[in-house]
Amino acid sequence: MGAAPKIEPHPLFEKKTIEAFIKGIQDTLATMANTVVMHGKPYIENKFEMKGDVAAIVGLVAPPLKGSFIISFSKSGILQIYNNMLSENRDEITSDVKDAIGEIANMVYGSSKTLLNQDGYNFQMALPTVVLGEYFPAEDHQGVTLVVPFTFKENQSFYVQMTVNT
Amino acid sequence: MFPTNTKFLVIDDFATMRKIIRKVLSELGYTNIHEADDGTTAWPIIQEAHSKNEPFGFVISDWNMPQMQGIDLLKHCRADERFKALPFMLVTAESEQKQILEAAKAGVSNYVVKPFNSVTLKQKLEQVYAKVSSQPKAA
Repeated sequence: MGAAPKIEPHPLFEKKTIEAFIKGIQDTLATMANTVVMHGKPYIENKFEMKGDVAAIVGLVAPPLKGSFIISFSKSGILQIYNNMLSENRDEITSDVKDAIGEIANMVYGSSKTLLNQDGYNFQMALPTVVLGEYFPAEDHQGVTLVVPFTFKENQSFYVQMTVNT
Repeated sequence: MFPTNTKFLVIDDFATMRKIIRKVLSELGYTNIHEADDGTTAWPIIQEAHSKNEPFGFVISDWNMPQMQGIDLLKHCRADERFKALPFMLVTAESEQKQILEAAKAGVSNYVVKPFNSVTLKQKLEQVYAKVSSQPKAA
């Protein structure tokens, strides 16, 4: 078995960037959906692969850095979060549920961006796009993807992925 | 606190956030709640309500929206004699010092940082009420 390919570290994959996004997710879901989420160990994949059934994608622009930030959920995972957040009882991914995923990504990105910009970065405002089914980050992404798995009660999971653009 | 017949306008491009704010306002006893999805749609609604003599008593707006941002809607309001004193709260995920200063300079009544819970939103409304109540009434 050969050694895993060596991946050049990228500034978007720095520890403090990852920690800021993890904190943004944990704070957002605890405050808005009364949901405590745990993160697993971040890892890098050489090729972007979609995870989950539905995702919100935020274009990351922090000159000179560019990339994408993606949160993807399984159907059951997002429905549990949605129902906690809005005190509703949905069992399908409707336009309302998709809207909520966008707002979650918006809050996560906004709060993480604040932390990072206080630390010298220059992340710009961005609006998320929500996609159901197959999705891809920006066309010029380099492939290499940072993945952070999250879990919450009843074995639910979701993923954060970050890609960098050329 | 503001009377329960206060007319609210809640502006956010995400229906989810409008729903969350509406829910908190309803829990506080408010029933006259209207919605808009962007600053561009909200501005004529604010003007029309005033011209019909049914003005809004409170605006709660997101900052980051695709067409007219909340900060620009606030500036529109403050530049218009009719809406100079209209209570206007920004709800936003942006909490950097420069943005808070920009909002304060533009005349925001208060500022809520997302994510927030219902207790925080209620406290912010109370702070606006305290501010409005302490201001001398126009002659």
